[in-house]
Formats: sequence, C-alpha cells, structure tokens
Amino acid sequence: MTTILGVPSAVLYGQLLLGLINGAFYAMLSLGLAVIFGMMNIVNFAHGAQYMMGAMGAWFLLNYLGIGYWWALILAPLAVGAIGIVIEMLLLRRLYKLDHLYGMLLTFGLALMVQGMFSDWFGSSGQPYSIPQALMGGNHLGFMFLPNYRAWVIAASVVICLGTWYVVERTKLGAYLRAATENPMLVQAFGIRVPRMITLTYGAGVALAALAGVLAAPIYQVSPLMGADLLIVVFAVVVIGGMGSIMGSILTGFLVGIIEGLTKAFYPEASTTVVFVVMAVVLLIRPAGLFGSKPEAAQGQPQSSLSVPAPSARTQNLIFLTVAACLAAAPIVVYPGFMMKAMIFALFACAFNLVAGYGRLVSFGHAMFLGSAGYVCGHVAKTWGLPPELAILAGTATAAMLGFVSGWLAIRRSGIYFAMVTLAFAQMVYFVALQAPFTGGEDGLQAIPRGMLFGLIDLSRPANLYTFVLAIFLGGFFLIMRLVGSPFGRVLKAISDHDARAQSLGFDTSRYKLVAFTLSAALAGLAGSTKAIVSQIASLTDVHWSMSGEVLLMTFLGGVGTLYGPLVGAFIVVAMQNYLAAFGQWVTVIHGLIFVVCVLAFRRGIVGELIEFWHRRRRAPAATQTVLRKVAVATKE
Amino acid sequence: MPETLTVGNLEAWYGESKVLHGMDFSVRAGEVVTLLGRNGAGKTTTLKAIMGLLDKRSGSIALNGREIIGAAPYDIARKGIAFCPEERGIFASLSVRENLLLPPKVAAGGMTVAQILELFPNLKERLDSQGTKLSGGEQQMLALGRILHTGARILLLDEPTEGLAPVIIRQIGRTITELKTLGFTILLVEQNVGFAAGLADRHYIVELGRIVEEIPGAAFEGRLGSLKSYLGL
Amino acid sequence: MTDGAVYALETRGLSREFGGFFAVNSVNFRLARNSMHAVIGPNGAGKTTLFNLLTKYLPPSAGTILHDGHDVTRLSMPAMAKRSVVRSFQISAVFAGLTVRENIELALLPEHGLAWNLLGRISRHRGVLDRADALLGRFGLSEYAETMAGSLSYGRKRVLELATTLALEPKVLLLDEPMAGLGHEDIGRVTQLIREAGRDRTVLLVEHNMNVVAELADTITVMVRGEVLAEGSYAEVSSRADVMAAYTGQAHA
Repeated sequence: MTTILGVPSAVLYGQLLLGLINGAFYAMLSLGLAVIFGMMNIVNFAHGAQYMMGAMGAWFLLNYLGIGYWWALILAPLAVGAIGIVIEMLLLRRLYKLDHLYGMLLTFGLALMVQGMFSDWFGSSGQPYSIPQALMGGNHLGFMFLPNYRAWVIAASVVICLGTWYVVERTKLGAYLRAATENPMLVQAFGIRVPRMITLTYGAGVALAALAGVLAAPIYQVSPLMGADLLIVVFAVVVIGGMGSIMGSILTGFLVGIIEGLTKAFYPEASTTVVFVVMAVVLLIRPAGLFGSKPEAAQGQPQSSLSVPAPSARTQNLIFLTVAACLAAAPIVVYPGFMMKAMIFALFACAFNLVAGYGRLVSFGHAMFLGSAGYVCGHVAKTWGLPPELAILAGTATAAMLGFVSGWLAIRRSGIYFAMVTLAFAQMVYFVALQAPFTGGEDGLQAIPRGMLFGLIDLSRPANLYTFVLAIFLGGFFLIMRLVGSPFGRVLKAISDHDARAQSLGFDTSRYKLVAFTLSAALAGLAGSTKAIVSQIASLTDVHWSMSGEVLLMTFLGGVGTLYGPLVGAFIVVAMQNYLAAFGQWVTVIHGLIFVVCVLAFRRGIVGELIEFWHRRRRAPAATQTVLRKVAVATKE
Repeated sequence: MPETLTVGNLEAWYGESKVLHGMDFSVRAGEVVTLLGRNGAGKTTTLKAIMGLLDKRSGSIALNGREIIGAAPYDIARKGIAFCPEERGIFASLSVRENLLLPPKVAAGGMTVAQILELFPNLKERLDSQGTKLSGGEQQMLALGRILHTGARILLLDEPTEGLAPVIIRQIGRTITELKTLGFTILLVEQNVGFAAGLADRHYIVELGRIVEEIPGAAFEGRLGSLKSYLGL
Repeated sequence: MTDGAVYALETRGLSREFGGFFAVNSVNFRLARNSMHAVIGPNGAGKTTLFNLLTKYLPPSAGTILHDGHDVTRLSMPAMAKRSVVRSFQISAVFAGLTVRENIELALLPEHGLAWNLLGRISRHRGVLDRADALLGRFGLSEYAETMAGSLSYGRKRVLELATTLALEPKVLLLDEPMAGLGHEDIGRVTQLIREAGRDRTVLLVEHNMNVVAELADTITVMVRGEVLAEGSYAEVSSRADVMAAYTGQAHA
C-alpha cells in the first residue's frame, strides 16, 4: 500500500474528494451570501435554513408526491426562491435604511422559525435520500474509487459557480447588478427598477441555496438542522475570503474544503476546527479578507438607542435596591429553581448587553464564554475537588482569557463581520468541547458537586444556594451598572456613536472595545460557572450557537442598551421555556417570531419602549408650556 | 412637442433637515439654463429632487405640463430626463463599455455608440478598461456620453467641470454647445462661473434653498459684481 | 531644521492616491505656529484629502508629515490628539446618544486622569463639572446641557463639536469646513468662536465660504487638482489671475 507522508494514499484521496465536495457547498452558499450582501447589505442568516428547505423539499417531493431527483432539482429551488421573494417584499424591504445588524437579526429569527417548524414536522433526526438511479455506482480511477454521484456534485457545482460568475461579471443583467451594488440611487436615476431587482436578486440567491440543498440531499442526511451548522462554517469562509468578489467566494469555498480534507487525512482531531484557525490567521494578517471586501457602507441610523438621558445616580440606586428586594422575596411566591435559572441567564444577558448595547458590538458567539466557564468550573470542582468559590473563579478567569483572545481578533472587524467572527469562534469552542477529553463529549459533565462555600456554607441547602445565586447576580449587576455609569462607560457609548470622532479626541478606541469585551466575557463566565454549580451539569447546550441566539433574544426583547432590559428579557424567555416546554419545537418558532416582531415593530425592546413612552408623556406637557410662554411673550410685545 | 421643465415651490428634505425652501424656475425647450450658487446652497439637491432621489419632497415638477412629482425615480428617467451626477458616478466594477451602455433606452433617437465615440474620441481606445481607471476628463466624457445614448432630451448636468484641467473644461464646453445645437434641453449646475457664462441662455442664483435672482445670459457680464458677492468670491 | 523655523505641521512630498488618481499630489505644506491658516480651492481640489492626511484619518501613499519637527507620519489619530493636534469633522460629529453636557465632559476625561476610570462617577469630580459648566456657558449651550446631542439643530451641533474640541485645549486645531450647512446667523457666531479660539493656538481650516476665509485667515493656501497653486494673504491670493481662473475658469491658466 502506498503512503504519502505517512497517510495511505487511498485515505488521502478519499479525504481530498470529501473536502472538494464540502468545498463545493461552501462555494455555492458563500456565493449566494455575497450576491445578496452586495445588493442588500444584509447578511442572510436564513441561508442555511433555505439550503435545508431545498433538501427537505426534495425529500418531500419524493416521499409524498413521488417526484424524483431531477424534477426536484428544478422545483425545490423555484419554490424556495418564491418564498424568498415573498420574504423580501414583506419583511426585508423595511430594513434597508437601518443598521445592517437588523437584517441579520431578522433573518436569524426567520431561520429559527423555519428550523423549528421543520423539526416539529420531521423530528430532528436525519433521513436518507437515495442517489438517483442514473448516478449510482462509480468508477475506479486507478488510484481511487470515485462514486458517480460525487463526481456529479463537483461537476454541477463548478458549473453553477462559474455560471453565476458569468452572469454577474459578463452579462448586461450582471452589469445592472454590479452597478446597483455600487450606487443604487444612480442606477434608479437611469430608469432601472432597482427595488424589483433587489427582490429578484434575493430570490435568486435563496434559490441557489436551495439548489445546493437538493444536491446535498443524497450525500448528507436530510435534517432540519443540516443548514445551521454548515452556515457557520460558510460565515468563516466569508470572513476568510471577504465578500468583495464572486470569484473570490468560489475560490475560497473550494480552498477551505480542500484544507479541511487534508487536515482530516493528516491530523483528524483538528479537522472541525481548522477553518476557524485559518480565519483567525487571516484576521491577523489581512483583516479585510483574502479577496478584499466590499467596504462596509456607512451604518444606518441606530434606531435602538434611546433619546433620553440616563436617570440620576440616586434614582438608579433606588431602582437597584427595589429590584434586589423583590428578587430576595421572590422565593416566597415563585419556584426558587426558576428564579435561580432566570437570574443566571439575566446576568449572562446583562454581560452581553455591556458590549452589544453600550459598545454596539453585537456578538453572535457569547455562548462560548458561558459554556467554557461552566466546563472549567465543573472540572475544577469535580475532578480537582476544589471549593466552589475557586471553581467559579477558575471558570470566570477562563472566560475572561477566551474573551481577551477572541476579542483581540474580532474587534479588527465591526458590525456584521464582528458578528460572523464571534459566531465562528464560538463554533470552534463548541467543537473543542465536543472532542476534548475532560468535557464528557455528548454527555457533558454531570454530578458536579456544589460543595462548601469558603469551607463554611453548605450550598446543597436550598436557602443557602438561593442566597448565593442572588448575591452573585446582584454583585454582577451592580458592577455592570457602575461600569455603564463610569467614565469608561461614557467613552464606550461615545465610541459606538462615532468611532472616528472618539479617536480624534484622543481615545484609543480599540483598547476600550477590547477591555469591554473581556469584561463582558468574564461576567458571562461568572454566569456560566454559577450555572454549573447550581444545575450540577455542564453540557454542550451551553456552548451551542443556539445559546448565543438565546442571549441575543433576551437582550433585544427586553431592550438592548437599557440597564434592566436584559433582566426583563431573560425572565420572559426562561419563563417561556419552562411553561411552554410542552410545545416542544414550537418554542424555537416562537423565539424566531419574537426576533422578527422585535426587529420590525419595537426595536427598543420592552424596557426601551417603556422608557420612551414615559418620557414622551412627560415631555408633551412641557412642550405645550413652552409654546404658551412664547405666545405670552409675543402678546406682551 | 418641445420639452419644458417647470419647477414650482419645490421643497426637499435630507432625513429631518429641510434643504430646499421653495424653488421656482423653469427650463424651456432647447435652452441651456444654469443654477449658480455657493457650496451647500441647494443646487445639487435640486437636481436630485427632480430625479426623486431624496427622502422627501413636495411642490410641483412639471414635464411638458404634466406633474411628475409623485413618480418613482426610475419612472422619471423613463419620461426622458437624464441625470449626470456630481463626481460623475462612473462605476468601478464596470468596464467603460458597460458604463456607456448601462442606462437603458428611454426613447427613440438616442445617439449610437459610434456617434458618441465621434463626440468623445478619447473613449474609443479605452472601451475595455475599468471605468474608474480613466482620467478625470475622460470619466466626465463617459458620464456625458452615457446619458446621450438613452434618447432622453432633457439633461441634468451636475458640475461637469469639477476638478478638471482648463483644456478639458473647454472641450466639455464645446460639447455642451454642440448638444444645444442638436436641440437638447439642459439644466446645468455650476460653480465655475466663467464656464457657465459662455454657455447658458439664462442663469438662476440659488441661495439657502431658494432662487434669489434670475439673470439673462446677455446681462451676465454686467452683473458679475453682484454675482461674486452671492458666490462668496 | 535648515531654515531655523519649526512648523506646527509640515508635509514633504505628501501624496494620496485613489485607484490611480492622485487626490493630493506631492504637496509641501507648512502650517506656521499660531497662525490662522485656511486651505481653499474649487470642489475636488484635494483640500479634504489633505486635511484627512494631516489628521491621520487617511494614511498617505507617499511623503512625510512633521509635527513640531518630529516625524508623525505613522502615528494614529489618538496619538495625534495626545500631541494636542485635534480635528473636527465635516459632517458635524457629536455623540448623538449622549447629552450636550456629557459630550463636553467626555473630552475633559483624559486630562483629569479619568479616561480609564471603570467604576467611578463623573458627577463626583468637581473639576470636570466646573470646566464643563464654563464651556457650556462660553459657547451658549447652557440651556441645552441636558438635551440629547442628536436632537440639537444643525448649527448647535457644530457649536457643540467646536466646544468639545476646544475642551481639549489643543495647541493645533484642525477644522473641516466648519461653516458647511450653517445659516447666516450661525456663520457669524461660529466665525467669532473660531477667532477667539485662534488667539492662543494654531488653527487650520478647510473652508468654502470666502467671506469667512477673508475675515479669519492670515495665510491662505489655494489648492487645485491635488497641488498647491498659491499661498499668501487674502489680498495676495485673491489678486492673482491664476487663482481667479481656477475658481471661475474665465482666464486661461
């Protein structure tokens, strides 16, 4: 048997082929993302769900209508593309003048809804989709066996990619598209119906994702979550390549697939994480990506920010004491287990809000801090047998370090790129947690001892535990409150308003962002460590991307950039999980729906809208008085 | 029927801030009319408002007596008004040829590519270069040629001389004169008073979003003093 | 220095290219200490690019920038601010989510050693509060102290931006079209404020409004097509035929 650098050549070629296949899907998906982003400035988070809908569509057509692969290749993309057109006309169209993050949040919500619905109908386990008759079997190439279907997928994807490239770069339609990407206003002024073009572009991009889904159906298992995990890798691909050029997306997609394949052959342990390592290296060396990027257009109006000054320090302290008293008394009427869970998530959300709300750095990867801190805390408490205070300290410190390193890389990009980078790093941490020896893999760490706090207080007694959680929450919350109200918090807010201006006043803005991100990570880690002690479990759920989505949901629902918004949001979301658990997957659908409604209708969140409402009511009479005074002065003259 | 553009009490906003406070003027068929004024007076905004490119506008814009203020930007272009923006608006990701052919035909009788290349011979050898690799003067010619192709008879030109060398400016001037003889109706925004003086039938002075004075082309030299004070020269 | 003079800012062979086009082409520019210096020129002449290069908002393609005789070509914008060179922005740059008072207080943090204070409260620092009060009064913003900066009128935003910039007591003040978009009354006010600010510091302004330039500037640099065409007092510059030609396109340059 021949070997190449110690790897049997058959294995190497096999992995290269697999890498090429994966690369084909990365290329097709990142291509669609790039076209959509170019036209609409929206990172289509629903892209993975739409890819899944393509595969599911093919499966449904076959199993319910008896329509086979070749027709599915046409019908599924058409149907999903049509749905995309409806989404654009009804929803996305309202967001073009807003900050790009809203587009990302809305499509994220849509993805959750679609995935939730399909999971409910379909179950979350995968279903096989058989290879069409004509493409069964394969050929011996002499050095390896090449299955016909795989050869077809590679050929088809190359044709699709080059076809898209040709249309965009070489046709009249493509010229309209490129021109509208640069300057949609001017293209309108030439008599071209740009809004309709945008609608069709979104439809086409989405159809492309669905087409990739149909191609994927016979290779991967058809399941509701097949797109979500793939999409995160595709985001890393997009950060590596930059969304600047069509050919760049195609090349990067295949390149990343091949790198993955080679890693699988030579060092299989790293195969799931290598993409993210490449991304980190690219961020260090060429932050704009290998093929440059469309520079992020000026951000739209940050509609979420409040037009109301913060209350005085005394009022703030008063509110804080009232909330503290309520939380202390709550176990009398509310189940303490619920309260503890809610407080832990509230601390997590408040930590997230420190960067997302006050620094306007919306991270899509905060679960990595919650989860990794939980694992470290659990490990220290269980395997090393150290007391809870040291275990929590260790977990928090780990999260802080992770925050420092990932933040140091991520703050090189802002806005939507920042969101994608953090999401990708979190996925890397997820894969590490899945494989590392001390995390317990799929089972997680169980039976973590609660232990004796400072060797004195027995945390296995419910009252002690509750007091402990309450103290940690209040401590963390108070710290955040002080941070936000401090000179540091002021600078942070200023940076999020106008980075360049803050720099011109002498503030080294990237250092502020890094410190804020590290602090936020540490506090999220504090929440995660406490969670591990309280629930006595550290599991993959806490490092999964859906946890990052949940903390986003809590914060946006409650009111991003408000002190108490995340607290309110966390209580609502945790309550929903507890009381709607019977509805199964529909909870995910509801989460998605809340995102969509929040983005479309109340971007300030519950607390934000309440504050606005209250101030409008107070301001209205004042305005009337001013008018009256003016009238009085006028009549006197 | 000859083309006329009549603007009445035109108001326009950028977001919340109002920039046009009731513009009143008209351009008659075959005329070259300039809008003069200092930076920020509202000249460019007026052109954009006519094209429907602003957040909000009100008043009246009549094309041959028909109200078009409610029309969408792409619709306004299709009614025969072509816009050549400030800083030329050449697309970097398009070749010169693609730039030239980008605006769709809105009416019969537009110039052919051959005619445009005859008007601007410099572009001939550069057809396959990237649009923004051209010199400033060539870009301006491309921007002008691009709208001549469409068949539109009313041209809105925003500072076609900006940042160009005198020899190129003279060439652009000759082109505009030629377009006038071909019967185009032209509304020109300029800061370059000397350039405008030699071309236009009438001038409007714009200040703080209003027309403050109308000067017939013939009276231009005599009014240069008051003009300079308006323009802050 | 060979000629013995050290300039507040000096450029040597400074260029900036945008895709083959030189917006600023090998410019040697000197900003004398304690002068009130204006850069003028027709649209597209490269004034704003030069300004952005001087303030480190853009990196140059070639050439050097000196501040007090030291090479600062590679320094960042915050580093320039620490050297007391501070700029304003053309599109009035206030922190919309902060109140007027908070905007001004922000600029006062570094000199009071509060720039990295993570847990304190600004309201405990009398020094900051008093300075902020004084600045609010001096710039006629007292009655708007608690207004969110984002909801101020355009003119007041410019005044606030100037107040915030001057709160740093910069030795060199760089103003990017301070009059852009202002109405008549505001122009008078802001001119007055700039004149006062220029009494004890170096000021460089890019400005279109010639009345303002004539009134304020002791030295004027005229730029055309990325290069310096002329330099001198208003009288000198405005009497030159080539300058008028560049502006009006009448004569043949």
